[in-house]
Amino acid sequence: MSNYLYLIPLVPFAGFIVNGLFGRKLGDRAVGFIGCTVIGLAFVLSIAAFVELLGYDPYQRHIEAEWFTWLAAGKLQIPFGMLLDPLSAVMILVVSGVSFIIHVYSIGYMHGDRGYARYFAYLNLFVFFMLLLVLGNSYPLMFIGWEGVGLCSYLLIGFWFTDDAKATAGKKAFIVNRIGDFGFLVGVFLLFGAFGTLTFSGVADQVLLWVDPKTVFFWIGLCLFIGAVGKSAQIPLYVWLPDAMAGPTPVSALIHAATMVTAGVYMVARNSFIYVMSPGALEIVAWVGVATALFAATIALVQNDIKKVLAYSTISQLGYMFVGCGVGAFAAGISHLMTHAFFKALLFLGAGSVIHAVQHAYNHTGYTGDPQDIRFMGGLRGKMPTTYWTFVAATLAIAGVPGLSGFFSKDEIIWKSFANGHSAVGIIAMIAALLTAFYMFRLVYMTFHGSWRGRRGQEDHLHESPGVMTLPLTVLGVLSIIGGWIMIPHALHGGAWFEKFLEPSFAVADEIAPMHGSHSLPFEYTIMGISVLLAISGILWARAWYIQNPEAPKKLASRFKVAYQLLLNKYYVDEAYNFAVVETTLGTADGLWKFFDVKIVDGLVNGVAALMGWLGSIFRRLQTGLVSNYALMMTVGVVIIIGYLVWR
Amino acid sequence: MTFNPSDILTIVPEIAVVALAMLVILTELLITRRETVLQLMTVAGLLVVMALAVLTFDKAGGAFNGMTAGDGLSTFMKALLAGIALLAVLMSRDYLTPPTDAGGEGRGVRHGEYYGMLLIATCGMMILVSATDLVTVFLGIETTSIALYVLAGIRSERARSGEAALKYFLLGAFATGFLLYGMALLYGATGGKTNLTEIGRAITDLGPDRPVYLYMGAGLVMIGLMFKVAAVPFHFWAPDVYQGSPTPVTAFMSAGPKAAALTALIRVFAGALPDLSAAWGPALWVVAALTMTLGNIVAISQKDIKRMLAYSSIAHAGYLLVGALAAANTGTYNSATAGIMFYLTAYYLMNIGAFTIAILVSRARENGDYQIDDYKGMAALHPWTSAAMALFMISLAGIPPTAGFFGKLYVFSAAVKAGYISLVVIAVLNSALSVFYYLRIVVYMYMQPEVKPARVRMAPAMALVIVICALGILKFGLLPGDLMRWADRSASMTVKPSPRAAVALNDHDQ
Repeated sequence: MSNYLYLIPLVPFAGFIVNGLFGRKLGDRAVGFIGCTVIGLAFVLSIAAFVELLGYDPYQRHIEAEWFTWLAAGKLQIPFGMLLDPLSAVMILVVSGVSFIIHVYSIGYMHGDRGYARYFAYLNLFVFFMLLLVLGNSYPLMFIGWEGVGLCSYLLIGFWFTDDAKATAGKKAFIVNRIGDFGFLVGVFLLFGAFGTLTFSGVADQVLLWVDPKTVFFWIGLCLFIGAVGKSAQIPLYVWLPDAMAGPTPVSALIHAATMVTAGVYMVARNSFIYVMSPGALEIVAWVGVATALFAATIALVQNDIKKVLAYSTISQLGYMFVGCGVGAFAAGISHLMTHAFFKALLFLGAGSVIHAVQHAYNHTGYTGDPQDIRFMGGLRGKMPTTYWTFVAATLAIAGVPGLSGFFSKDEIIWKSFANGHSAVGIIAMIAALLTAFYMFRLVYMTFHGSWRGRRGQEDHLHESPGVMTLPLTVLGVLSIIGGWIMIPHALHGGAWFEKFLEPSFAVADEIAPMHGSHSLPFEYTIMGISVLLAISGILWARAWYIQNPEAPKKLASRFKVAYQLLLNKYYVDEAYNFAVVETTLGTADGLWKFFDVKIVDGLVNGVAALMGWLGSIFRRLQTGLVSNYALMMTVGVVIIIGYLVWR
Repeated sequence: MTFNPSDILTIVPEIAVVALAMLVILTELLITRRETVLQLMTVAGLLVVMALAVLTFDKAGGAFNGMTAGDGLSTFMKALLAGIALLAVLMSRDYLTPPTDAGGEGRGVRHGEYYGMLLIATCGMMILVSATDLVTVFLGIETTSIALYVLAGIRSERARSGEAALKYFLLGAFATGFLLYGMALLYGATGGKTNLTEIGRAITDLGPDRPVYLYMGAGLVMIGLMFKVAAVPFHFWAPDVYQGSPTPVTAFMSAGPKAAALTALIRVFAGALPDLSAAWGPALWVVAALTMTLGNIVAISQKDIKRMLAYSSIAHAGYLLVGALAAANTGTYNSATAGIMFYLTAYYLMNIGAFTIAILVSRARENGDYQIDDYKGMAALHPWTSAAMALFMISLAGIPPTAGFFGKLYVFSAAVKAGYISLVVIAVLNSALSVFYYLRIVVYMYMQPEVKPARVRMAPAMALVIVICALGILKFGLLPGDLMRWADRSASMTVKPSPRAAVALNDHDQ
């Protein structure tokens, strides 16, 4: 076990090295092949690790392989090691599996792009960091992965950096994430201060024996959560994610739906033993999560950019995952993370397929419009059947239609909110679920149903995407449908196998604060019934407005102009941030720069530099080049030292 | 006084180096088309020597009736010295046989002689690092020095080379006089002892009434070694000699003799004279502070990269002296010595790497200059070479994640543990100061417009040196554990200062 665990991240890293160094000489075919093969290998290794893990007794499923001591400075001992337990096993399977599918898709999507090798090199590097993040057995290692995926995401969002807006989006993602990372770092410092160790198991062991006041857990939990809020795009740091849609669509699918943004959820779940020590911190997690879920869903109601809708939907769904963790149902949060990885990756890839086709049609008719605006789409159902049907499958899954993956995971979160006594959270989550069903079907109807609303003649050039793109869609489509079947709850006579599998990873948390949630079956059925009802009403609502009576939403929009504009402009949060933070900071910074920096700091630095330069020129004059001078100077030194030693 | 045949085992690396030196010189006489053969021979031989040094690691203990020690410290240093010589040899050949249009720099040097001298200097240093007797200390220093005098002046056609050799020789002879006089005084004061352990014991037996000339002896020996380390105010030879010598020799000189002399300093002062540390400690304190400060300040105002690196090398000697001071404290002997070993390894890699790139850039210039201005805008033309140079500069400045950072961290933290807090503060301030001139090169390469494009022509051997140095710096900067463990183990397997001589040094921090 331990002897190949570290290969899982290392194989993609090898791909990065090869593609990064020799990519341009190898040619596109070889680059694509190498890029996909290394991820495929990582996936195979992940499966092997998973199978091996299954061979152990459930509570023995904790394998730590310390490779070497990475850093040792006094009390600080940081091993470089991997931790395989049910939680990380699920994560590596999801990460490498979904990444593999998206890599294959990218071969088609990025075909002919000038930066093909660079793209695959970055993508491989991203997967390396992501796998390091979920496999690392200590906070510093996790932080390296954390920073690494941030860096790669920055590089990939700004991939077409010739385009100024896209480069700016990359920067925005980077800067907003810095705020979160600062919180993460402070949390890690607090952890080290409190426990003197930085491995997960080391901290967990000490938490079990903790007798001192528990305030420290609140602060650690809060700081770590700030990190999670940044990475997983929650209120108030979500603003970077919609802008990050500027990158290539497969990147959005991989980084901004399936993997990196879930790192925050993974981190909170990994630290379940910290959070259960502080109900206050958990409360914050739950409320931020549910507020984000609702808030982002309302924005998604009116967006017209296909990727923007999906971006806000991602933010909203990430909110659900935090709700799961926040109400103490960490396994439910991770379940939703997994099903969301399937259907959201599929939705993004499907959107990519649509954009690909529309762009193609635009190119053929010499039209330079925005190929992502759903107001000028419609009727794609007949042109791109595979894309359509897989997209519908994913939409049904995210809407929470019974039987599909999203239903089981989302329902579990809502049910656990009620069962663990967070009814208010549960009710808001239900409202958001209604909105989710609505805006997702609005997207489907506007894109695929009706008739083409673009220019005449363009529709003749709309084609289904090549097989290398539709095959990944199909695979993800199947996963979106059946992915939830391993989590069918007991109430529906399922085995809740997934939850049981994850249990050992949250054993410490469970030991500290067992959740005595409600087990009332009628109550569970009621909640489930309401969820299903809401999902179906959402779908019917969208159908009523966008198929049967397309004038209704327009009328409503003109009637409630203020509300509509508010939503369309995303509550003006970007503008508010821009005013409150960016402008003010720039203003203050400008003032500081003019006064403090130029006058005082520069003055000081220049003063010191000038002083040193002056001193240097003085001392340099001692270097006359004459041996006799040197000998004299040495003698002076000898006399002083000997004189000191003798007449001390 | 008995001769134990197994003692030979402890000096196998030295024997191998001398044999190799003779072999190389003879081979040059016998074969034609010899440049490549000679270089390959020397490289292969040095690899063997390195292996031998590592293999003799476990043969810890004194040998030849206490004249030398084959302990952890000496084997680590021998391996390091062989490594220094190895990279110096690798970078030498292209320097000695320049491309036809590059002004004939280095012409007329016989490669065999050159490698031979380099190897003999290496042998001298190896003797020095294992010396546990004043006689062997002197033997090592002189063997090293004489070979280095020749190497400094080996480009006899250039006036500067000759000047460097003569200056080095004259001042070196002057310093040797002090060293010998000091040894004589120590010999007299301890009742005819030359063995370091015996000297230590004799001084302890003397009790509180020690003769004045004992202190004078200690002071003079210190001055002799300070000269070799190029510590202020005995550093004046260094900038001129470093600049005038052939650049590979400069790289070799700034890394090797420093390592060897520092080891001798630890053996003599931490090993034999800890009882007198109340006297020499403050003197060394002041010398260390002056050395790093002066080195850094003058480095800032240099315009020639060889001179800049020369002053930077003086500054680094100052940091290392902080470690040597901490090694004199029994409690921190291990961590300080291990820190010094780590530091020296890091310094050797980053310094040789920087000198190699300096040679490449200078070769791209018609006049063969070493102006810092030549680095302006280099990154656009040579991204990889510039990246490597930036790495070396960052490491020299001691910024993580490089080996230079951990070297400083280990040495300074040992010094803090030994109680030299204000000295470490001075050292850290100096590190901050040094960032200025190291990063200036990086800024020139990346952020300045190109003035006169320098087309660097990479030679395979040079590229190899750069890659080895860069990888080493990254390896020890990202994963310092292995090397640190080896250094720790080596330090703990050293012929240690006797516990009796343990003197609390904590109160010497002023």
